[in-house]
Amino acid sequence: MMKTTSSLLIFFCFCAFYANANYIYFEVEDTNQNYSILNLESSAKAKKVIRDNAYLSFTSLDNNKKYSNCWLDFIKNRKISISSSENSFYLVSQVNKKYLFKLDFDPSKIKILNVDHNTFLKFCENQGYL
Amino acid sequence: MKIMKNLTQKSIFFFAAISFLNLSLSADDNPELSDREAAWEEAESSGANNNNVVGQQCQDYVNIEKKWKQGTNKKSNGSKYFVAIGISEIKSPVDSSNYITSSMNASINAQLDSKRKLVESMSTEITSEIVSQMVQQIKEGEKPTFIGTSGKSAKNLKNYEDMSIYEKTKVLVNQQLDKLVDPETKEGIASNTIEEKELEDKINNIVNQSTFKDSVTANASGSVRGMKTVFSAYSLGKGQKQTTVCNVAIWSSKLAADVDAMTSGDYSRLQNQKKGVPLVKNIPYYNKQYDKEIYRSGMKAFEALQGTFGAFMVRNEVGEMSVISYAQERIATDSAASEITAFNNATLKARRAIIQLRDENIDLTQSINTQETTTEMDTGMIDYWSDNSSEQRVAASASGTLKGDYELYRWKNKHTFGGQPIAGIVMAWTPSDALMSGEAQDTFDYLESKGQSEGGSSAGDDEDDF
Repeated sequence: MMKTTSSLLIFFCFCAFYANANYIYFEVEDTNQNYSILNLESSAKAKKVIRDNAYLSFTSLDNNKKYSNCWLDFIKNRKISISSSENSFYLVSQVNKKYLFKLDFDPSKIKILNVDHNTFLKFCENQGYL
Repeated sequence: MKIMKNLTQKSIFFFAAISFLNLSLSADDNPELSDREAAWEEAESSGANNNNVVGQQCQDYVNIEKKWKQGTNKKSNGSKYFVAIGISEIKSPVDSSNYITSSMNASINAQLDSKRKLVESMSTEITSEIVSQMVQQIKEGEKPTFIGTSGKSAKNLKNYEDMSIYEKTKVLVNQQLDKLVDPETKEGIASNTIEEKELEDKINNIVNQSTFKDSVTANASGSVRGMKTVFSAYSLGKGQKQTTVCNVAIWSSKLAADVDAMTSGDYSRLQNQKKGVPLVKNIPYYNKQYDKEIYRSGMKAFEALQGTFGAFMVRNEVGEMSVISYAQERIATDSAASEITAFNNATLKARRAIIQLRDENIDLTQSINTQETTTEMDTGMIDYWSDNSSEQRVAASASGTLKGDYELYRWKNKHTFGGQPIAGIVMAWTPSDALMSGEAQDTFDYLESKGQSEGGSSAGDDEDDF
């Protein structure tokens, strides 16, 4: 009984740790490209991932699918400027003709320079996301 | 006995039947999963699943040997440090005469890759612009001839940058139409054989058009001081087209302060530290000597030396934070002049690596553009067009005055890949040598400042002498 409880406790702590850690995995196709091109493609994709998740910098919002969908709609036909720091990505593995990368980032270190949190929330309400 | 034998036989038969039934049931349970598992196992055992990634040696050094992670780490005292793996391919093929120089360039590029990651982590500005537009036109009836004037004069046209998203989309639609119009038609237009009406008919065939354009630009710049290399390696794996070079670089605010001390001349910070080993002991293969606990053979030790590039910060035997820098150059011909030139070039590159360690400005610009358009014709055909382009530019500049460095070791051998002759140099810098060179400079300056001296003599000019 004690052993089961401890195992469950460790399991939940593990989940909690990874729930708070901000990281995203993304893939790049292995087209037999050389490393410079792979570097270019992965760097480009990492920037897009940061852009697509920049809404997390609005600290009052949680990591919710509805905000994510709204943000992807919000950034269409609009110029967005973002400043980010303390993020890094690296190659994890290569399996099944795909390179897997991991992007570590801290939402509190992302700043959306030309959009404020209220404008975004208002858009989401008007579009029916909330 | 006969009954026991029968019972035993029946039991064996019974268990065999049960086992067969279980196997049959489990095989039929999920045949697709079984096939995928079998294919995966086969790929693993044959090596088709490539478990080694580019720069695997550096990955193993970081993840397994040092138990760090790429990006920001924390020491036990809470202070942060940044770890980055830089990778570059050696552009020249192994059998090319330029292979060694290309290796050196690749190592510089790998170090630049590490610094780029640090600069991006410090701060990156990202600009995003997505345009998503759909245009539909459904017509009915015969278009009449309109009377009266229409259209704007040319002088009312705006510059492209001043246009709204909708106007820009119209330009994009026109651009796509150009792609749709076949060359025959274009030639016809050029030779005025096709009337305007015919062209209009082609456009009228488009029922709707949907466009999506995604542009992201990123800029980062910074001054990197004190990012040191702790591990470097090269590899040419079986079946790989190119050799790759990787290096593991670390940066911390303490390292930045150390190299600032190197620049400012305040060496007290760099001295009286925990004693290390004589600097030559850091060289993997030195005068045919090597550490047998690390390298199982002389060739392995030499290959480690051959694959070491860049500047490293280490403590010497008197407890001074010192720098050792490795560089190589191909010896072009058998002549002594070629050898001297190769060593001189390698020396310059090794000295430059020390300057780059102290302070290097990194500028990064990147742009990514993705466009997609679908066009539906009134015949029901749907035409799809897409275009992806990415561009990245990294510029690095470093300058400074270096004093107190000296040649620690020079070596000459043939490269183990391709057999090209190499000249290798290991330069060293220590605070005490920098102080000594400072004193020497002061002495020379002092003698110069004593001013000019005059002298002379005469003889035989008395009147009695002539």
